[in-house]
Amino acid sequence: MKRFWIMAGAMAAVLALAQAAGAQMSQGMARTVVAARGYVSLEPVPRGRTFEVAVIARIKPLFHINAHKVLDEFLIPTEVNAKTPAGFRITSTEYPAGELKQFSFSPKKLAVYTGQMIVKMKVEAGRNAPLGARELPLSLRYQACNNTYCLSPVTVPLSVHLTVARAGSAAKAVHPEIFHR
Amino acid sequence: MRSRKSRWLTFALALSLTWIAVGCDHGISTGSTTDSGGPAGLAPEPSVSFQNLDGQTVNLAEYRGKVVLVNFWATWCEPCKAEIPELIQFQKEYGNKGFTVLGVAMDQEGKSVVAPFVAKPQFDVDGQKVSMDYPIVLGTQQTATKFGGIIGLPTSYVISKNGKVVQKVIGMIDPQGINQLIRKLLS
Repeated sequence: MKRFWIMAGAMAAVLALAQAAGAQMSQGMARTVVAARGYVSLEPVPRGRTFEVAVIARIKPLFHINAHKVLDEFLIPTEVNAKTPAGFRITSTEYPAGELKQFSFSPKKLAVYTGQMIVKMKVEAGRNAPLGARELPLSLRYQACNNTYCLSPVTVPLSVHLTVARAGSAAKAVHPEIFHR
Repeated sequence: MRSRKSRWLTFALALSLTWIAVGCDHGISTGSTTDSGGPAGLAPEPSVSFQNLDGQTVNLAEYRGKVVLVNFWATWCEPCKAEIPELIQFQKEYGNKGFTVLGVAMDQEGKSVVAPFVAKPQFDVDGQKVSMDYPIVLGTQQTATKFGGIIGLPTSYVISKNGKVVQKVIGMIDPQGINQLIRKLLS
């Protein structure tokens, strides 16, 4: 009998802790809805060359995130941003068009992304870009919903790694399945 | 020497009693027990205060004696906006009978985004465009924690006159079901 009450007490403590942790679940859950990864189009990247960076976001089934061009001023658009280190410059960012979808909770269609979406950026490595291994920090901001409820907007950090070589160096195109579609 | 079977039975019994004791209430609540004010009771409302759009502190306990529908929402939440006309209707019908909606806005930007949204006549109620006419306060992660954590928006809690949480709904409310519950709690 003593063992029973010790076991019950221990379980109560564990469940109480789990319930407290549940308070943070909304943002935590929002982060699990999208898996994002970055890719670079050239290896290495010679100084003075323009290359591409792609962010591929895979969205969990039954969830959607708003498109970059939203149809309502209060909706949170999906956005990719880069903290370009010295010697690099983003020259353009291309977002896919959203899919117009009707949901049970809204009389109007919403522009959303489901499944997988790819954002591509053109990046210029300047003539004085630091040589060697470099990291380009990125962030993906999104707000996800399913047919029942919406999760908090979140900003998820990610990064791509590249190698900067001297101007005129040979460079190999990589990830053709992403960049040469 | 205790048998393996009796050990498993002890474990299962301990787990069941602990689950009941801690009162886990995650998940969509439908057909929850209505508070009759009896000794069995339901979860008491949390002790929580908010800032309203005028910067004043509002304690949930100030609404004791009223039936309160606490509705967690945000300006970026489409299903939240879809149910606002229903909430406006409830306020209109029962607001002078001891009921109120309390809208808790979870926008991270706070008043700068929420105030103009609330003031804008944009919701179709009885053929007219109206604004949100029930009390609105600003919510934070701390206030969400006090309610046991909010998985998603909208999430609503119906609180009885004596401060007991009688129903929790994750997602849009069922207007007919909530209407019946409000009537019962007011009677």
